[in-house]
Amino acid sequence: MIQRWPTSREEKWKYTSLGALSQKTFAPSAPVALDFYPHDWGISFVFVNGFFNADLSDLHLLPKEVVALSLSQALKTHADLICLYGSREFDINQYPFAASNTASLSDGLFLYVPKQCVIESPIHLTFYSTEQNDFMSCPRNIIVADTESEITLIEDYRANFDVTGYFTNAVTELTTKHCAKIHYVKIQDEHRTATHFSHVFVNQSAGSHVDTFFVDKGASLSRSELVVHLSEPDAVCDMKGLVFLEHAGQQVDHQVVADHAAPGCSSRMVYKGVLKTQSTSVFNGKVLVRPIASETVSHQESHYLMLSPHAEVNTQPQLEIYADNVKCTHGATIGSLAQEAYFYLRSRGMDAADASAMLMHAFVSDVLSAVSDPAMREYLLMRIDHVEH
Amino acid sequence: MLVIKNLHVSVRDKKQDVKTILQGINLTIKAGEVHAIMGPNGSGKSTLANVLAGREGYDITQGEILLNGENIIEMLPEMRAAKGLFLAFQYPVEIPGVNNMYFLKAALNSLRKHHDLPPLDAMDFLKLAKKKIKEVGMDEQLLSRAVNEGFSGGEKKRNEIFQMLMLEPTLAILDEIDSGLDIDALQKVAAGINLLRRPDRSIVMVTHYQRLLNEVVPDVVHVMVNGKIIKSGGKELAFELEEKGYGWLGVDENIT
Repeated sequence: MIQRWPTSREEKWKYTSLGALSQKTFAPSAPVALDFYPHDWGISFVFVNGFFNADLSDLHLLPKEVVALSLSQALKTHADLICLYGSREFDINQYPFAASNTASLSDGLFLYVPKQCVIESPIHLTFYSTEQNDFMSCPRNIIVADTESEITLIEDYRANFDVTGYFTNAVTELTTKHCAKIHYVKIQDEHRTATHFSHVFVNQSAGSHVDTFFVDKGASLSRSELVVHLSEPDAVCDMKGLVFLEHAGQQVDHQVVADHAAPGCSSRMVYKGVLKTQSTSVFNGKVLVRPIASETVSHQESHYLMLSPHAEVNTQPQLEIYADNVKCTHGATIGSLAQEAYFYLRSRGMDAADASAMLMHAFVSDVLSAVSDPAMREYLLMRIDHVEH
Repeated sequence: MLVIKNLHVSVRDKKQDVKTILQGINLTIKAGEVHAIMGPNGSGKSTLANVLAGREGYDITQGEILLNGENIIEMLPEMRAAKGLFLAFQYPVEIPGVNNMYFLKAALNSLRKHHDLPPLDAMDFLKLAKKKIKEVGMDEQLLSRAVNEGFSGGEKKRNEIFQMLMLEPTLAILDEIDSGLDIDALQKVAAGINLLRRPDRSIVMVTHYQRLLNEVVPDVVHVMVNGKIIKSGGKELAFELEEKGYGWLGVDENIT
């Protein structure tokens, strides 16, 4: 599967060991017949064990001018567009798992939103795992928002309760052309025995706006690399992440890179996590300001709440600044539940569980309330609270 | 209502040295009574209030606290609340991200659940809250803010009294509820406390000043010094203290 396994000697892999994973073998995923999958909302694309299932999907709200095809279909009919936006070769040393995704591609979505097309309904991609154990699926999504278009996209990983030990290795490429907007949400609620690796590559043109919102609560080991290229002037990227770990031994690793390669761009990273048990969270936020990228504004913060003495958080800012006249800030905190507030709530009659749940909600409330669409905020809150497995 | 017998409490400081704060408190509060506990700074008044509410970090080395005949020393704070005990904090805690109304509804419904009452729905709760908030003269808009966040000192204290009126405790312990209040706010707070007074409810006020006691007239006044109650009397005792300080009781006034 992987030619050369990264080791903890590499900065990006310092806190995530691949020892156990490298010992496992995974069967390729096979299409599974599924009769029913409930739609949450919006325009829905359902993938079962990595393969697009047209019968379970609901595309009736999708504007006609939009090209939306499963990747396997798009490769046949729109190979030219795919070559233009998704033909990236991943350096096997820098992104070994993305390269492996290319090699064992299963399926995914190809979405091309034409100029000035604004899609109101969220486009919800569900990757559902069921029936098969110990398999690997490699979804690949290629999303292009052409000039002045706007979409909301949810990439959502869920699983049936009885499926174990599988491996998701996903790659998503987002491209925003001039002044286009993508609101991107990724929800990782995989089965707690699963391994979830994902790469999200963002390439932004001038004046475009991307916001990303990662929710991680499932999987035994989850690792996300978000790499944002601000390649033309005045692009804006707002990156947020929430991590909720409640199963012993869980690990979530976020590697986030904002690559400022043009002047006047701004990026913002805010990641927060709550670790209820003996679990591990990693946040490595890198801001690269290239010599050309003057007038860059960048802000980064990460905050973690540890409710168990055995929880572990590794958080590090990495700022590489090669330009003048830039404004870069960063901050990180790691703490436990505010005992004063905890006692205050309990003194009013709330039991320990209710009081700590209330304080956990409070801890992440600023990140959630920054989601501008109230329906999306409600949906995220519902998914955060929902216990799947 | 409340019987405290020979209560000894100590804490450990940063160097892990044991410091005894309460050195044998005896106190009996009957239903319907209002008691005031006065005394110099550092005499242990706030410790007593916090120990009653079940705050962690105190070692109870001796004694009993009986609430309606039941020893509550091992009881969790939320259980004490369910048994009717309420502490108005000297320094109400700011909780960013928790809506004041949401918090209070959760608290009230926790207590109702404990008494096998159905939860109040949002409408009924709002009706009740709007009625009670008027009684303490608190701005209704504070309901939709985060708990105590950015409240002025006076607003925080009114919020404590507002919560008390919503939760209707049978034993209210008010820890320096009058500190940091201007005259108007003091009167509103006092009026709120008087609203709670009923033959089946008791109130303990920890205070430094006579002025609150003019508005909420206590049945009994205690003077606490060095972790002991050295004198108890009627409401006149508060006047004497106001006039003469603590010196005439044989107490070094500069004690801390």
